[in-house]
Amino acid sequence: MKHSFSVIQHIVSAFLQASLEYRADFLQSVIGSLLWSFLSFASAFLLTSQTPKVFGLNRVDMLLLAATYGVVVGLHHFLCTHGFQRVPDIINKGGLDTYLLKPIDSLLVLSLMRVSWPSMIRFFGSIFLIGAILNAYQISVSIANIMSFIVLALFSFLLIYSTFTFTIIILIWHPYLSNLMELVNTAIGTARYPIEIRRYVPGPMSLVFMPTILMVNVPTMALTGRLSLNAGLLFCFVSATIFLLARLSWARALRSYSGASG
Amino acid sequence: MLFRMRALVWFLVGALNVAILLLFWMASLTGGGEATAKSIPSITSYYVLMLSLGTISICHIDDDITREDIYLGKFYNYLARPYPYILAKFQQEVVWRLLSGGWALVMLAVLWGFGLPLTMSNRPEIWLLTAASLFLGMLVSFFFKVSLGLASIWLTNTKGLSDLAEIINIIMAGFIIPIHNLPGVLKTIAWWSPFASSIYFPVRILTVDVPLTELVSMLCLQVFWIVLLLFLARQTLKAGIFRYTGVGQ
Repeated sequence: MKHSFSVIQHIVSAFLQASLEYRADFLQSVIGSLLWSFLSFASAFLLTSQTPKVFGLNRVDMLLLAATYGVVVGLHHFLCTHGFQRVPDIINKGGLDTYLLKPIDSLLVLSLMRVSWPSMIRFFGSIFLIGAILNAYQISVSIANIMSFIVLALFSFLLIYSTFTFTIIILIWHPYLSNLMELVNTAIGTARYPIEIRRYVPGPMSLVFMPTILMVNVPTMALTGRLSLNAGLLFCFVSATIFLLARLSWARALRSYSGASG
Repeated sequence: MLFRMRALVWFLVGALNVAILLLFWMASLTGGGEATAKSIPSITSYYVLMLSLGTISICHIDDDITREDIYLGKFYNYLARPYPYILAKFQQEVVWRLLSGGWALVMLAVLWGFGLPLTMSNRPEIWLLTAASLFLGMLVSFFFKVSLGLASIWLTNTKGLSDLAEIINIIMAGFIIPIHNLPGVLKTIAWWSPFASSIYFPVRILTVDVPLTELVSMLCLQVFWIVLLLFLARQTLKAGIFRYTGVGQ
């Protein structure tokens, strides 16, 4: 465990140095990251410009959801998303062997091999925006609410991590489907919409939408004090179970990896 | 089969985006009484058609140009051939658009079969005009994306630029809300932008009984953008050939 943390620390700092070495690239990535955040807020503004309330949520609630999305999903973008996005190429070119030979957990290395420091700015910007929205609209939040938000955001992180893990597992058998990563990113993008949308989703489609929508809505509900203890605990339990299942599935899927390129 | 599955995944990417917005609008409109209930079929038609026709007209050739041709150095192969580069890229892209369009048509047929209320014209001449506008829209999107892709000759990383173009496209093409419902000056900017020409105009022709003057102005605007963006793409290519080193990045 100590060894793994030491490796993670080195990977994270190496990518900070690499990011700062190519400053123009870093700046462009920051702009890109901020633009996607802007889209979340622009969507909230544009949609609520047409209708005052949706699912009982007004513009403030929608903006708060967009900001918490930036924190929860932004943290994953910072640490793991870019690493996962490189995996299809690695599998397709038969390069996974190199990672499997390393004396560290292969999934951990693959997910952390492209730490995106520019996304960190989005993450901190979103925290600042949450504070600004809460302050501007006089929404009172207790310390317990903030702590619940942090804990549940971490479990949401595990849920996002598991989603990406299941996707790269599919790629072991179908390495040419590299655009599945785009599909996962799009699916996680739906997390910025309110949970009440479930009432309008036809039965089987709920399986597609609900896990991603819960990722951001549950921590947001905890922040505004609208989440019961039982619901919070259930969310933590389900996230942890899915995370363990994803890791076990990855270990099982590696047995099918042939090392031949796609 | 391999490419059909990839095309299906690309189609699902677009479908997911549009589906969530459609659900959002259905929820917004359901509680609004008779007047808003009437607009549910029209908003459903709008998003379903934006999705399905968008998979045909919105091109993604910039990614291929950036990754394959410029970064991996395959651009040189095209320059050595006695065949126009832009035409070769167009032929590649058309295949993808047809594959994705095929999935879109399957989805439309299924939705129709399940009785989803779609409000669109049933006049053959409108369908022909929509097809013509869709083709013009594809050309607008294609020439824009060619210039965007070729920008990677000068830039080490085009991600920021691609993200910017994608976000502007999402807002200005009417993917979040229809252009006619955009607030204030944003509506005018979006209407005159090439993003509206690439998808919003064909969908509008098919779903709204547009007056002749508006129809002509939309088609003229599409032709204007094609000429302008073709010129831009050719100039970018011309300048890029001098700049390109032939060893990739």
